[in-house]
Amino acid sequence: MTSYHDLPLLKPPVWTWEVPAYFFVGGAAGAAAVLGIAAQIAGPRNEKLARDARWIAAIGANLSAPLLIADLGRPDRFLNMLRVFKPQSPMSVGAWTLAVFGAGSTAAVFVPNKTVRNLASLVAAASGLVMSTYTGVLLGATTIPVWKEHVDLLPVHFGASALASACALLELRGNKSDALNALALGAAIFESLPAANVEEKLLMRLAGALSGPVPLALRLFNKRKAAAASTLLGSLATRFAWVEAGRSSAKDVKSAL
Amino acid sequence: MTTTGFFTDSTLCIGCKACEVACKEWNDVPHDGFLWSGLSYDNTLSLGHSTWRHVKFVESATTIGAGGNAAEHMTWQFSSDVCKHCEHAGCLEACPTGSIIRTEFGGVYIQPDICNGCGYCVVTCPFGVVDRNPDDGRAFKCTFCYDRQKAGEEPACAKACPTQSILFGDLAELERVADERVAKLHAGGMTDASIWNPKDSSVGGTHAFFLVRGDARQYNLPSNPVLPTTLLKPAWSAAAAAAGAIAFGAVFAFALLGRRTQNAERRT
Repeated sequence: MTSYHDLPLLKPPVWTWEVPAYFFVGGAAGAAAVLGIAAQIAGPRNEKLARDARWIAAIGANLSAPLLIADLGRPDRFLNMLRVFKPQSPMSVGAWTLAVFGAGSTAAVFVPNKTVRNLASLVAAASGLVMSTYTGVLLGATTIPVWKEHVDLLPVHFGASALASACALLELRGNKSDALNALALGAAIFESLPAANVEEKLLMRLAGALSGPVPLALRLFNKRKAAAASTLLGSLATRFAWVEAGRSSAKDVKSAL
Repeated sequence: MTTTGFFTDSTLCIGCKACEVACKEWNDVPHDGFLWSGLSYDNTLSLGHSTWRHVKFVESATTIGAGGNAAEHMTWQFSSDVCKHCEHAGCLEACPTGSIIRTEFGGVYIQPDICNGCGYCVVTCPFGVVDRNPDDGRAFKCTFCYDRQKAGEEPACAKACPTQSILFGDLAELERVADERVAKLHAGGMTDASIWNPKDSSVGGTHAFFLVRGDARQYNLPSNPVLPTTLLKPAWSAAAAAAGAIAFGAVFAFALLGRRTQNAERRT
């Protein structure tokens, strides 16, 4: 097949390291808010776990916004993100979700009134579900071949990765819970499936191993904290690997034509 | 207001790059660096934040009988590329700030006072047109000379084109002119001439369309461009499934295992 001097048709993503870092932080924070509510519903026995989860959500949310602002070409214009709401733009949906999630998760730890705090936790959990999955939509609904070919996979992949990293953070905070272990096991099983590891490149292979088989094996031997550490590294590497995959995929003129 | 368009006819282009220069002059577009690419006479290589018109120099095997080429000589074709100003524009739909708008002339325009340089338009353009200027921070592309059109003038590139390879005017009228031109070329024996305008794709046609010879892909014009918005349904469906699994998984895990731990500890 012919192309114009084999030059790329598409432009590679211009995003800097802050964007994949945000995918990791925002995803983990979002899933943590969900775990916090689930633990709270299950009973007072999980009070410490739920409190830790709320704090992880709040800290993650407040790290997310600076990361995204730093990546903008014009950071001083970050408020323009909330100038309009466009459901057809995953970036717009994400900006609004982060705004709601940031307000909810922060209120859930700082507001003195308990009813308001509980309501805020619910808002944080609902928007947290979007936080942990929408970044897959953000990458999938583009023209970059490797992203759009995996448009069905990316939201699930990133969601599983977010859930696993939230469990990992809670375990590393000293919460020993069979529920966390079961959820992390489920995520590790999903991440071990060949469908979640599409590229032969070293970074994606490494990310896949650290997210899937390694923590899976460690959990079967009840080495939960080691599994958690591996999962966190794997989850972070997964986001960098996918952005990197997009960068090289944009150079592939044959797929783009 | 009438919907305007560009009809760029590569069979008339002589590769003089007057369009590139006129565009830079009028729009105050920065230089592209001083690079000798070695790829024919093309030293800008693609559209980008500092190249809003780009003349391509396509070298390919000859079609005997058309254009007077002998079989041992390759053909050398020129075509001035530009933002396609899509009927359904990926960049416009993806822009989270509302900076990218549809003008009253049907063109796609980035409002420079609103763009915050998020870079999402860069990865949602099916033609690799929009680009972020690393020095400035904002995204740039052809404005369709919105300012000139508002003043009743044609865009600078069309004005400067010495061979009328770049025609500007009413879109429907240009499409009629293009069809006539193709019929004339076919009658003259240049049977590989055709119009590139992806009307059957999800982009729904472009307001800047081209007359090319042979396979349009040798001009880096894709045969089936995909509008990213059409991927939203599978993407959000997957996200909803994942979100549901996380929510139910979390609630059930804590409901079942959270309580069991509690009972187990009560027994001890």
